[in-house]
Amino acid sequence: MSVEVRVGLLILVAIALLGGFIFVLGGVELGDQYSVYVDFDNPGSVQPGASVNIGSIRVGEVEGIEYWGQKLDPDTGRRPMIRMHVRIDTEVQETIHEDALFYVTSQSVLGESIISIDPGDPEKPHLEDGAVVEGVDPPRLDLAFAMAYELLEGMTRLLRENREDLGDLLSSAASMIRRADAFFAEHDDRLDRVMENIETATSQTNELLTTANDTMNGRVQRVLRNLDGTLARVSRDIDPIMTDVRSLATKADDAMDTLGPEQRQQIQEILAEAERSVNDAREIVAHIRSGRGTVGAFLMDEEVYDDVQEMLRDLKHNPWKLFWRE
Amino acid sequence: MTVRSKDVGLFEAAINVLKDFRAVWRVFTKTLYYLFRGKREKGEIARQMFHVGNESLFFMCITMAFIGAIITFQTGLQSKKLLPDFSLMGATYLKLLVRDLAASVGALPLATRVGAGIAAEIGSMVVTDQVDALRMCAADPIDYLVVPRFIACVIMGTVILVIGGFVAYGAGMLVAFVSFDVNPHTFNNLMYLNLGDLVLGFLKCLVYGAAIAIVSAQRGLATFGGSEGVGWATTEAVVGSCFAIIVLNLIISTVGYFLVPGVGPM
Repeated sequence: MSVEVRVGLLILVAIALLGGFIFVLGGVELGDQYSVYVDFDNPGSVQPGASVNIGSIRVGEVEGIEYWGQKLDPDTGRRPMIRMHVRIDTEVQETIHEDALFYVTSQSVLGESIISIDPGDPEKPHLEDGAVVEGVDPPRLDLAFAMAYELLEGMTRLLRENREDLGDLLSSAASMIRRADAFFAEHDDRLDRVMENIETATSQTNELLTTANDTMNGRVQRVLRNLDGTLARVSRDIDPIMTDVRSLATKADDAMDTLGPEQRQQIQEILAEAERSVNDAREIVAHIRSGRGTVGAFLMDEEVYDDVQEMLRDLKHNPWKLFWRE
Repeated sequence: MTVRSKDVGLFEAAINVLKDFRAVWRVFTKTLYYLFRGKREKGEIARQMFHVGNESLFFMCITMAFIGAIITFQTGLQSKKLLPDFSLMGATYLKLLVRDLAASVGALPLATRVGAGIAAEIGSMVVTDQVDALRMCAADPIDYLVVPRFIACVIMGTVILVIGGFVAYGAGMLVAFVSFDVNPHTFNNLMYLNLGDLVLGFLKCLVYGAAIAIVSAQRGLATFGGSEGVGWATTEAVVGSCFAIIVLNLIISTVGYFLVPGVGPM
């Protein structure tokens, strides 16, 4: 083999290696691909050329990222902040459905951010070429860190500026805890008894409530049922009752309107007279009940009753005594 | 070169470096001139390419394999202390290799072998008055001696460095798998690499090949003092080539950082 051939072969090997490397590096896709546009508010650090995976399998790449700035998209009615152009292998198109989730993840702990796809419900239709979907934003760790930093800074400032007060507070708390501890140690037996009593009382209360519940439950339910029926009847009859009352009140008003001042004065006098008569009657009844007077003695005195009974018995045996006195 | 002037002061050494640079620049410009205008012996370029490329292949492959293995092993050991995650080891190593190490580190052993050979060959011709004989025949030694070696170094230096880079990558992949259980599929990660890195690395290969040829040829042509002078010329050729590689690496990396698209922080 001549020198020229050997040199040529070595050059060809190097060219083949370099060419293959450029081919792989360029990410040349041999199969067909289709486009999907994914809207994000904040896609993190995903860059054009980033891998698009299902599971850990690469099925496409991020073609481009466009800033929309919440401009209205008339086709979707959404206002995306970022719209990402994703190219996906056509051979997996049938497996990515309309409810597929496009979310940002990373290849490893410190790895590059990529787009991962959850394919969605197999019963639903697959995503068409040019479809626009809404992506799942990654968690804002930077925001969380910023807020945590602010919180820590505030706490640090609080501790620094109120060091004496916090020291007093802590010493007071420590003193209180010591006293409480000493109190519990000193009254340990008593506290045990108190706890036992509380436990006993609780148990008895439970038993009482159980018994009362068993006893009263039927009665209470009956009462409630009756009350419920009464209320239902009242509710049903209240309208005619109220109508009658209103009618009666109206008639009473009419009757009162027909009376003049003199008649009203006479009625008041009659009522006063009636009241006096009632009072006299009450006094008479009270006089009789006290056994005073003839009628009172006759009605209330047992001796008079016995005498009359004996007289009647005697007259029954000796009727002639009506006409003849011994 | 300053190597022979151990007893000179710092200022004189700097003057010597500038004089050497001017001499190298003169050889370089004349080489470029004869590259397009000169007449070369038939088959000379192929012979020089064989010497630079094919005869250096085994040496370069072994050297780059060891370099790749050592870099990966040390990188793995150090990163293990920080974070026991080797998933990006291959990606970062490949970025570093393509952007810098394959060309810059590979060019140093290539300079020791090829540069020393060129300086010794031309220096021997100088001390045996063969170069003067060429001049008496109205032939410029740069056209007849330097241009074929320049072409051979630029082309075959690039070829050797590209192959050496692949060997270093393969060795690194093997060490990562054996020492740190990094799957070759995981190691073979191009995510941090872009075309700008490749352009920059390729440019370095071309420039380093040219620098080795020019510096070594200039040292050979400047040889004096018999066989001892040839020895000094060989040493100075290796030192000068390595120095040129390092300085050019700094310049190209700095310019490439700003100009070549895609080259920048990862």
